[in-house]
Amino acid sequence: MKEGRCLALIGESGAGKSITALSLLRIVPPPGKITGGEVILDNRDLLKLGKEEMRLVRGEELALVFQDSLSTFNPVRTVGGHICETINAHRRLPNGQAKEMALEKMADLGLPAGRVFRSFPFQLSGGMRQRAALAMALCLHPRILITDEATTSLDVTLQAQVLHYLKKHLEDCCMSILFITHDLAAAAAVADQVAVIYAGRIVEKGQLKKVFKQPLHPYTQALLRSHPSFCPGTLKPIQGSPPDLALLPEGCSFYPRCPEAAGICLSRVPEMLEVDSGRQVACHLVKSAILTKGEIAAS
Amino acid sequence: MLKYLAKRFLTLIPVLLGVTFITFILMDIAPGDPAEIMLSRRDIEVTPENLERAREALGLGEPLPVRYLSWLQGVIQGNLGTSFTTGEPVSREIISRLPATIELAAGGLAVMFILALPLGTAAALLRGTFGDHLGRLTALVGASIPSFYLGLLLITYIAVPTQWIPVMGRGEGLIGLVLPSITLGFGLAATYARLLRANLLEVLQLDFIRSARSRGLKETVIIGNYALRNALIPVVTLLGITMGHLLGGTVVIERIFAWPGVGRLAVDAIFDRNYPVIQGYVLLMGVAFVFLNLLIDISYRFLDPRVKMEEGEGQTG
Repeated sequence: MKEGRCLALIGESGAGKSITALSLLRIVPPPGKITGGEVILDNRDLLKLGKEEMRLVRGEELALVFQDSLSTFNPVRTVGGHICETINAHRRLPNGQAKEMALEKMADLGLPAGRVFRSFPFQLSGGMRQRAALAMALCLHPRILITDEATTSLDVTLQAQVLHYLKKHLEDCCMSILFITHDLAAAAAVADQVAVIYAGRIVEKGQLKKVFKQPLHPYTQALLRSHPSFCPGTLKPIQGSPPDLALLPEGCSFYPRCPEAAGICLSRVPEMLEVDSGRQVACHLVKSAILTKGEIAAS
Repeated sequence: MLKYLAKRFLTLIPVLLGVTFITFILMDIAPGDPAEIMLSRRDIEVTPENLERAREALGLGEPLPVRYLSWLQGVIQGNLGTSFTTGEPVSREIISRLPATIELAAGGLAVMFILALPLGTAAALLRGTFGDHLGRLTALVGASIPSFYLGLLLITYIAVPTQWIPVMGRGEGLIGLVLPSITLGFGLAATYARLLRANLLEVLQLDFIRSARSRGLKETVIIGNYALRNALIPVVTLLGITMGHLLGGTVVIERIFAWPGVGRLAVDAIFDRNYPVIQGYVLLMGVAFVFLNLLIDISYRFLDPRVKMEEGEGQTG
């Protein structure tokens, strides 16, 4: 991810989007465990940080907004209390300054800041609560904001407003956003890069415009075909459901649902292949298509 | 709020009428004649004439509804009657015993909190480890060990050899309170530690705890401000009931430590068929239960803002 950019992580329910977010912050709930890999932020591997160092990264450098705003907040504390607490966990500020920061951020998001600050979470509407959660995540100016379906529960006008604000924030504050969603339209509205995830693996990655215009991976194609704005008139759902991640099929995890699956897909996991600058796909078929094209060009 | 309190106090009246009337009937049905017992206590020969006279003196000649109504009339005027055995006013007898009971209840609760809070929290945080199993085993022992046995153990192995602590009675200052409080608190702590552990484990799995972690809050803040506060709500409910029982006196512990509390007064009164004292005791228990539970309900308001006391309150948005 690059500074000031927004990467959308898309995929259907159960594809592993949320667990990716939790893994980045190292708060995967037990019995889940991170067994390998790296999370690199500014040349630091977050998986190798100590507990206290990691705590400081959370909220300050990586901020996460959850889908369900009611479960974001502690039911017995005020919204303002939450935000001030978050600020104080990272910075020592004189009295009142944290409150001012909180009020300012909430006003930015179009909330009646004073009232929301004093309210308990259950006293706010879903939309207000979600924006309050967003304000809380933004108040420390994180390097990367991770929104896990954060705008999905908002109504259309509010969603547009929040997306607009995020985009503006992106440019002004050198922040990056990891925009996790299954809403392709929302992804298209804010993101410039996109990564498509299936069964816990990224299957296609690249510039959003290119990927959406010309999807290479059969899963991306199928995903786009099931959305009205990409395929007007005829919606085609993807047959079947995502695999149980504990019982992944051998080979490419998408082959049982893939309309074009060939012999090789059953036996070997496809590797990520760079097809264009910044454009990567993990599919045997795309790979062989490119290879044949290359041979034709060579001969 | 005031309207709510007034309403709650009004519910006190039917509760008290109910429990005292039922006790009245039960005492009447129960075998044993207070007049006979009184006579034999005073070494007066039990003859039909003497019995008749004693009954008359004790006010037992009237039929039951009349006796109940006249007792009620006395209560309204602040007169709980006089004890059959001592001839003292019942209110004075109870009030003279109440401080000892309150002391013991407070001491027991203090010991309970000192043990249960850290143990319950630690057990939840160390779930599944050796410490957790050890804690649960201790809690099981604590819950199963009878208080008379624990009390005797403490007397035999601590009070007698060291001579620091009086074995019997209240002693000077608060030192006499130590052993009975430990005996009482230990048994209670076992139950409360287990309850707290279970609640805490449940709360720690909730999403807002994960959310708090994702914001980089310190683990101490998460446990104290987030988990414990939510986990304590059911504990407080149980506390209302426990406190009611404690104010009624803890008969066994009062016996072992010769503690002059209300519980012993009540048990002695029952053996003597001392009706006015029993009635006074029941009245006190009724008031204590209703009042303590009211207090608990009010405290919910501070623990959990979602609890509304009356319509239209608590909702601003």
